[in-house]
Amino acid sequence: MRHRGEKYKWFVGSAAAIAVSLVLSNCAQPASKTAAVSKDAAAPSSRAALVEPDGGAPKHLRILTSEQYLNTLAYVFGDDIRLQTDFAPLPRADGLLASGAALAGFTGGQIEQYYRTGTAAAGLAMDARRREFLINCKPADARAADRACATKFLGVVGRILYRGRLTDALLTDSVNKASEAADRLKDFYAGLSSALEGMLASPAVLFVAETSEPDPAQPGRERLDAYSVASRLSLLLWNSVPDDALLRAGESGELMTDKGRAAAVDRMLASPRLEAGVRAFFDDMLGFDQFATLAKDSIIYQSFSAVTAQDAREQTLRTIVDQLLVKKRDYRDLYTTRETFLSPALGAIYGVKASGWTPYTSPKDSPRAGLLTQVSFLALHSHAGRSSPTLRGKALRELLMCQPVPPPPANVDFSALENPDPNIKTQRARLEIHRTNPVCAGCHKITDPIGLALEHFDGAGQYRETERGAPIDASGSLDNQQFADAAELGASLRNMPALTSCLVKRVYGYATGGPTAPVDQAVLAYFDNVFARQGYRLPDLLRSIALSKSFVTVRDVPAPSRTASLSAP
Amino acid sequence: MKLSLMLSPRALMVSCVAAAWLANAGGTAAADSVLKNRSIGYVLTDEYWAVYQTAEGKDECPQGLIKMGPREQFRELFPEDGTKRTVVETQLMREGQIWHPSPDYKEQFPYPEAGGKYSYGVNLDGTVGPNDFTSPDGEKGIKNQLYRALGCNEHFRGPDGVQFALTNKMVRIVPYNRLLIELTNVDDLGNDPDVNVSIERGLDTLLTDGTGDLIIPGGTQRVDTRFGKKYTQRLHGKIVDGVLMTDQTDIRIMHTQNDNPSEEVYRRGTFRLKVSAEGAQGILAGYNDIDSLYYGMNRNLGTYFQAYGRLTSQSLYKKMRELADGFPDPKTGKNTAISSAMTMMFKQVFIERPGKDKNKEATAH
Amino acid sequence: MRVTSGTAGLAVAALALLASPLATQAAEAPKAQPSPAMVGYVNEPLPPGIQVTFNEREGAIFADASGHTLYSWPFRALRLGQVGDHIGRSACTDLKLTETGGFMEPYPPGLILPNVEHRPTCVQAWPPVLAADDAKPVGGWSIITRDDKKKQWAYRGQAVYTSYLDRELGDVLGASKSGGGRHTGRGPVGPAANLPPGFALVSSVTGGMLASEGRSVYVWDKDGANKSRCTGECLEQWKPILAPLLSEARGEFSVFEREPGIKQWAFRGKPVYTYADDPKGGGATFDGAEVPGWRNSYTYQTPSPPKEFKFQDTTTGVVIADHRGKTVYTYGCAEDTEDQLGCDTPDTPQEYRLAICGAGDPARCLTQFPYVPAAKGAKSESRLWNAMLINPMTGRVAPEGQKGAMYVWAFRGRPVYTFAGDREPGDMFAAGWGEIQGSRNGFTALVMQDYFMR
Repeated sequence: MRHRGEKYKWFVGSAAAIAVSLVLSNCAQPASKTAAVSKDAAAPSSRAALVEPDGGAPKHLRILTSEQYLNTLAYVFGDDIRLQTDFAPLPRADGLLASGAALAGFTGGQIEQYYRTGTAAAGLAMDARRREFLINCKPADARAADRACATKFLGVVGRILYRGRLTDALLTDSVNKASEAADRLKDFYAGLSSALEGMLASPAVLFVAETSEPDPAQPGRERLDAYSVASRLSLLLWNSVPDDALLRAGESGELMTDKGRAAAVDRMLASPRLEAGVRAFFDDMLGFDQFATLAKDSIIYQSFSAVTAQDAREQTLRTIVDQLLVKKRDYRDLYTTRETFLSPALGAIYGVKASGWTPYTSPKDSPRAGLLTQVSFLALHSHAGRSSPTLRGKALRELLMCQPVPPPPANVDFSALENPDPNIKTQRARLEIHRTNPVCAGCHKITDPIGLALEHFDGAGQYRETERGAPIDASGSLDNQQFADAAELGASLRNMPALTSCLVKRVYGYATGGPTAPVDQAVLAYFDNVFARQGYRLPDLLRSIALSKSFVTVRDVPAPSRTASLSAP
Repeated sequence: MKLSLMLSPRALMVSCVAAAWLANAGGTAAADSVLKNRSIGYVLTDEYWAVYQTAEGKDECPQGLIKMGPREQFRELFPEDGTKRTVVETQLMREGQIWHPSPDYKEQFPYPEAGGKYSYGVNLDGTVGPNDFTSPDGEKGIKNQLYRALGCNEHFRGPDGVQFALTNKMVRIVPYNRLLIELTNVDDLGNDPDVNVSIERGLDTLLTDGTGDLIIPGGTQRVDTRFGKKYTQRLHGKIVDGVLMTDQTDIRIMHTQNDNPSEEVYRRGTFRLKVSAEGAQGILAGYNDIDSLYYGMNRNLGTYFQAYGRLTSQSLYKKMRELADGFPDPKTGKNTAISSAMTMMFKQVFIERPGKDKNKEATAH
Repeated sequence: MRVTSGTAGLAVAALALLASPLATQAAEAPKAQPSPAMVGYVNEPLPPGIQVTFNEREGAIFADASGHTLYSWPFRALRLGQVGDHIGRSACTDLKLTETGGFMEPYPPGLILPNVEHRPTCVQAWPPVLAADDAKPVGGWSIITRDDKKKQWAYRGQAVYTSYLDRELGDVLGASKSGGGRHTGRGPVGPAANLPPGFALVSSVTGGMLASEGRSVYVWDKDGANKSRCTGECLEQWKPILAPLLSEARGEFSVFEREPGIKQWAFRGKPVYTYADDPKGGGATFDGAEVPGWRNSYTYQTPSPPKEFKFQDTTTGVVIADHRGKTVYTYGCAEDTEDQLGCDTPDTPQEYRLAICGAGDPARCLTQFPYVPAAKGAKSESRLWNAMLINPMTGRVAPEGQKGAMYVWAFRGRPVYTFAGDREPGDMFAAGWGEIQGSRNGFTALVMQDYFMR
């Protein structure tokens, strides 16, 4: 057993090494920090501020995600213009694709996908049937330009697409484009379509560029301007661009007052559109983009099809919406709740009848309780043909506790793991090599003991008593908390401070549009506190963050430091 | 009673795969869980006439398969010799014969009957007679006169028979054919002297695996309590050595192949199905009402389709009436039903009835 | 067994129909009366002489100046060959055909057609709508040149015709997808419905139903004008059809804000919804209308069939049945020729029907497929149904007073039947009775709603 602080030669020179040493040193420590906690929330630390500390976030430039772009098109033109397109994936930064949107560079090919979608949408919107109902005026002559009508229409559309920043010059330019095309093609609507295409391809539409102004309340500091605040709010709460009412609140100055911002946020939290925002957030945080490439061995897991995968994703998101928005429950209870929903494909996995989506509560003696025992978690973090305690433990650490796990070293010998010895029947037995080989144990001790608790669930999320005839032992531990099965794992996780502080960190990063940094520590601690006092209710957390000073205050990005490390737990 | 079946090659592969799956996977508690409240449901996934075949039909069709289909017969009757003929005296006359078969119809063309020693089926009346077959397991007195009429026709012989393949496909994709059977009052799927069996129609699509080809157990079927009422039936039976045997009674099975509703009526019908937690397979045997069968077939498969497998309806009807061996018409004394056996395969499903607590199932994993 | 065909000069009689009230009134071309359906169609420019009229089953349709409904004959594949009009061309000529074309399997071509001496040509049965020499294309209307060098109107590229069977403005007796002449491959042509994005018009036995994204649209008695009371629990079963930011009230569709920033469509002032239990993409259904207070939303409703008929549950859905619950069947037929002329009206050769219903024996036909008797002078509220006087042994229209003639009900000018083999209400044992599952020469049930076929 290595002692903490000792360098591990094979991680020379990388930031990862430092992170690993931090994490591992944590694991090797006695359990003082992670002592058994009571069922109640951890009491607010006396050191955490009860008053919002100075914070703020950098101004970001980020591309609209594909969902946000499509949601915008649907909001403006209608749901039937929801086109099926595959956009290039974004990188993940600080646990979120949304933060990756702020860091990514883009090739022409990636942007082209947005252009093509925009072109298709513009064409559809102006087709003979739709135009009747979508255009707020009629041209004097449908075979020629009509500046007045074009101005009226493009003014309304442009205001939304540009998120309030449709200047007179931009509008005039667009109307000119429409008129030229209309005259050339002898078709007013073709002209409008052309102008729309141009708007939908504009960087000002595709990229959310945050801008700021001097903050009258904090001399010497900058705050986001009204349109930037509006965009941040609507992307956070609705995963879309600001609607007309929000833009008006921005234009009138209302949004920059505490009262006005509160009114706007409360309207948005009360709207059915909040569900889209919450779904988008958890879909991101839980890494559900991986569903796009999830494949199971169809011989070993006959019950698992593409429909099952789709439904598994929907099951978890539906459960989250139901628990956190509809029933307004404690976030931590997601990991112990027995309430969920089943579809026919999931019913086959659970061994329960389900025709269409139906609410389902697992019985008291059932091993299924909480998100960790849902198919999305179990199947996503498994191999194509077998379960994986390592992947599951890693996912729990990284996704739910914000504790990064280092990748295996390049020279790891997998042969011992892939041992075809028929006497090795269970995963637990197979993973003994992780535990006994000191080269492996250092990292694996932080993942495997967690995942082993979920071994009653195979790689497709189906329950099993035995594996290859041998009984399964589902005991495990998480940072010195012992448990006998998956339900107890969920209960232990529920009481870990890292569970809620990780959520806060993710929500804050998501809300402010970019990765968090060590300088955010105080603000995050403050929101941890707030979240606790609110009873860990997500809508309340969203509200607190959206109404905070940090949400609108601009923080300069510090120069990179040599001691900078990846985000601390 | 042992039950052996001719499985289609695909069915054979499926069973091997399923066996392999069961061997590899952790032993499931499925058997317990689906019987927790003493009932188990199944949905029909495969259905085709049980035709005993040997390679190239050497045993059962020594004269070869039927050669004179509608096209061939038409050419013989109305040769292309320059004579101008009318629609009425040719095409419409032949169609008239199909839809209104006459007892005076004279068969002019050879019609090889299937006639080996063996056939699938059941001894429907407990006797052993000269027209009976022996089952592949050695049981004597097997009644399956329909086999004689169909056995040498390409349509009904696997794996490529058009009718053989199409019926099966339509069983899976057409909602009309969603046959459910539910066993209740079951204590043991191995042996139970007293079980109840209900037949109903389901409303949902079949649950498939990732490839979309294999129907897998564990799906859910809502019962059609409105339009399917006519086909809701209650039977009684027993399970002996894993085989469900229902008491003989009239059984109606709804059936369509080309969107025209029809039915088969198995008089003194009985199920013989090997049952398990994952599914059931075997035969439904009985005296098939000839007219129901015949007209149902014609309304769903036009002459053009029958021509692909050289199936001439007029000839088939004549043959079926000749071979008919049950339920004489009180007026004419002529038999109206013909002994038959239909291969059926099922997969386990959860059956949901409207109004009941949807998730009352005790077991959940 | 040869069946004697009907009276000579039948084609002459058919042509005489062209000298019907409509044709003689060309000078005072009857104008379409406004109706609920007509305000809801896309108002496109029309050529001179073409008008929009209304049929209670088809909705808005085009008619010529003398009030004859316009039809098209789109190109389609039969089992062995193709028939109909390519875009921009007309395959309907004045060629007199005498033999079958062999499009149906397994019967060969070259068989002599029944009553061939009196068989009309395609242009006699389906007169092309000719364009003047100086006519100019307009909107969706173009002009094609026929093989006989004459000019003919086409709508969206499909040549248009009238039918010798239509007599009054709004008649659609020639052919329709919904039954009556369907087998000929022709159908009436009309303007598109003027619907907001996401909506569709589904034609059903009960009228033109609104659908949205493959689901039926419903309205609620409890809602006010442009005001929705469906909130909370109501929303679990009923999904409001939301309108996007750019949505304008047009025609009978309006938009209102159901909550700040969220707009909903309304039709004729009633907020519209879909029903959560309706399967998506399952086509229009009536299930939601079984919930008290909720109704399907129609742009027009077809009057009910005569009171002698009712709706009857069968094993596959709901059909029109007689008062005893016996399924009502229509008989459809198109000859196996390149011109695909109909053989299912009383004026066309009856040999086809007689072969199928009775192997050529009219008496057997009357036993197996009896007519549905109508009282003398019986009237129907719905123009789709009428009582005709028929000679039951010949199948022809009988002159008043003819011995043995009987009044029978007809749908779209074609007598309807029940089937002796249907013993219980809901039986449908003659559905598909005929050649190629009844779809070329045979009997079909009058289905209101089918839930179980593909």
